[in-house]
Amino acid sequence: MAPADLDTQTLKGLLAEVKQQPSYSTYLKASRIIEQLSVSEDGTASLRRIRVAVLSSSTIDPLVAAIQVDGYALGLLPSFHIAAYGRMFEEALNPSSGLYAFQPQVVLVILDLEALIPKDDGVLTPHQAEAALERVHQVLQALKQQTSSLIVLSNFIAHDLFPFALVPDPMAVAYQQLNTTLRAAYGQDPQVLLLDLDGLAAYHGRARSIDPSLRYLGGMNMSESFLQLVSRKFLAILNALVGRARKCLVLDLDNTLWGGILGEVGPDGIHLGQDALGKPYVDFQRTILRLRERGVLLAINSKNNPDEVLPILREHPHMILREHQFAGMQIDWSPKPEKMERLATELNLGLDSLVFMDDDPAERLQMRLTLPEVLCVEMPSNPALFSPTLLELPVFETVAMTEEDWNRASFYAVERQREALRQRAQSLEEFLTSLQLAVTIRLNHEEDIARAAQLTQKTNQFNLTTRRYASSEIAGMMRDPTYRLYTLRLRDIFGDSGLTALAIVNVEAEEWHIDTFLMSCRIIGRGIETVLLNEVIADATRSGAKRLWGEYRPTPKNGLVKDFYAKAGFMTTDGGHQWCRELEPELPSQPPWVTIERESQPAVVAG
Amino acid sequence: MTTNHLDQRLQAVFAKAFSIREITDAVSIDSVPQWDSLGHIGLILALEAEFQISIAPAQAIEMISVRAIREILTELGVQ
Repeated sequence: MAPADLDTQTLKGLLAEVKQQPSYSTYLKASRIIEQLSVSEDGTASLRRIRVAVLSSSTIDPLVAAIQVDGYALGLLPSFHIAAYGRMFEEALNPSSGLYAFQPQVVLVILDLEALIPKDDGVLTPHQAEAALERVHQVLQALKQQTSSLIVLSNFIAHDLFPFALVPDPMAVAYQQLNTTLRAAYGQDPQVLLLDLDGLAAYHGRARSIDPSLRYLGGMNMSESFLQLVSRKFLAILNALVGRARKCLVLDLDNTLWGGILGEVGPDGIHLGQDALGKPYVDFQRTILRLRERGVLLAINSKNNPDEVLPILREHPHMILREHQFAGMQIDWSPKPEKMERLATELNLGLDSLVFMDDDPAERLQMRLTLPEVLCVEMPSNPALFSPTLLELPVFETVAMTEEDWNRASFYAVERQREALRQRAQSLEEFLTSLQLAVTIRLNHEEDIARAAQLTQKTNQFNLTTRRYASSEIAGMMRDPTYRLYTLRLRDIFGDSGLTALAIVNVEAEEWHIDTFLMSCRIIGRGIETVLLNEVIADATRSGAKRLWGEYRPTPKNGLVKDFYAKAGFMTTDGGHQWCRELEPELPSQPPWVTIERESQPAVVAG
Repeated sequence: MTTNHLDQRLQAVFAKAFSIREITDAVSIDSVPQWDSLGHIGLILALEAEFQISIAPAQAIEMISVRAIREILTELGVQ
């Protein structure tokens, strides 16, 4: 066995141990092996690499080890540059420090209050809190000047409070004010993401989130159990950033959404209601509904008779989830992996966007073996734990919630109505005309930064180059006169699909290059991509450019757009990757069934 | 008999912290490459968990060999 294989074997054992009984020792050992493995490409080629700098005022290595190990299990391979203790300020403020030479894609800033206030100076006063904030601003300002990477800034954990205080504790008040001020200062900053560490500590239990001896022995301000939570929270951010947020929760029915087997006990026999046996399922459904409201799609994958299931979905008095809230339903007796593939096709999603919850371990195993891309959640056998399990699943998080996220879930229900109309319409053109499509195309519009970045991170299929950008990078390009960012929103008689297409164009005098061209799969089939491309062609022509270049970077998922440029009159110069269109004075005509509005607002971004 | 039991538990702790299977009193921070400052934190946490004790910083700083660990554990009432 080669040494690398041996390491991989040992690592497998350690990862199993971490899952069973996570301890700092196990994390440390596993992280050292991962570090060795990551030096070579062997065994880590399939992992997504990402450079993370950590600025911390206490010992942060245990957290880094946990992030490395838990990240490995999620398919991420972060590499780290750590600046701890006093080095933190120096590295942030010095433009030629190791931090900036490292060129981080993400900077994690974790601050403890005691590192920011003068030593041995009594208890925390409002004046000291102000001085501490000033130092935070200093660090953040320097980071923002020197890098365009995403800055993840933690708030302060309110440690050492009197738990039984009846009269307000001034220190508790000071902490609250500090965190409120941080939110006010950075909550809207597109380059900064606030990490609510205090909220996480409250969830875990503040007293349990710090280990009193380690605090003094190792300068470690997170207990063994708490750092696992922090690691998961941070990985949720990395996961979203690299475009791996999951989009759809697929649910089994019997013994998952309700207790008992419907086909055996009948509609009156299932456990679902306000008693001890039924309430856990009601609460689980409530949590699922809240996920839907956060933009996650829901679907059913169940072996059942639809004739028995539909009355439950429509009429059962204690069902929280109703038929119209499911974007897809596969209810029949075929194997579940087959149903899963049908759901993916129907919803236009990749299998790696799906999460599967089923109480039956055998079904989960079959799913894992057949479709490893689908995430199968380990379900506890006790239904009282279903809701907490779902609450702690970090894979649906996106970096910023946009209006489109809030609306997406209802989108698919509307899409079914559109489909009905499509079937009634005689021809495609007639159908498209009847939709009364209206698009708004905006150029370099500041309000679109967050959504544009998110589209680059999440769009996999209709995406010509699959370049992922952070909000800060998008904002940077909007300020850069050599880039033009086109965003497109679409409305029709059924409603607003929101900002669903994006083109980023690099502009030179005679040659324009399309850096990014993508569209949400929700709006495929309406000729909208042609509208956006024509807009770019027209602008390039009017500005006197001679040639427009497009690029196709193949991925396992974007085969759909392989011939996009060929169909649009581009010629390839190298067998399908680089495409070029000679620009002629005559402008392409836009499809007659679309109304087009244009808005332009040069981006003005502070900083 | 009790000493043997303690030995077994110590063995388990060292296996967990440093993947060492055989320990003698002479094993120390100087003889184990992985026993660095971070490894030491892991070791202290593993000892606290295994023996259900709380180790003070002054004791933790002295626990740099199997011999010293055994002595401090006895002080803490571990049998």
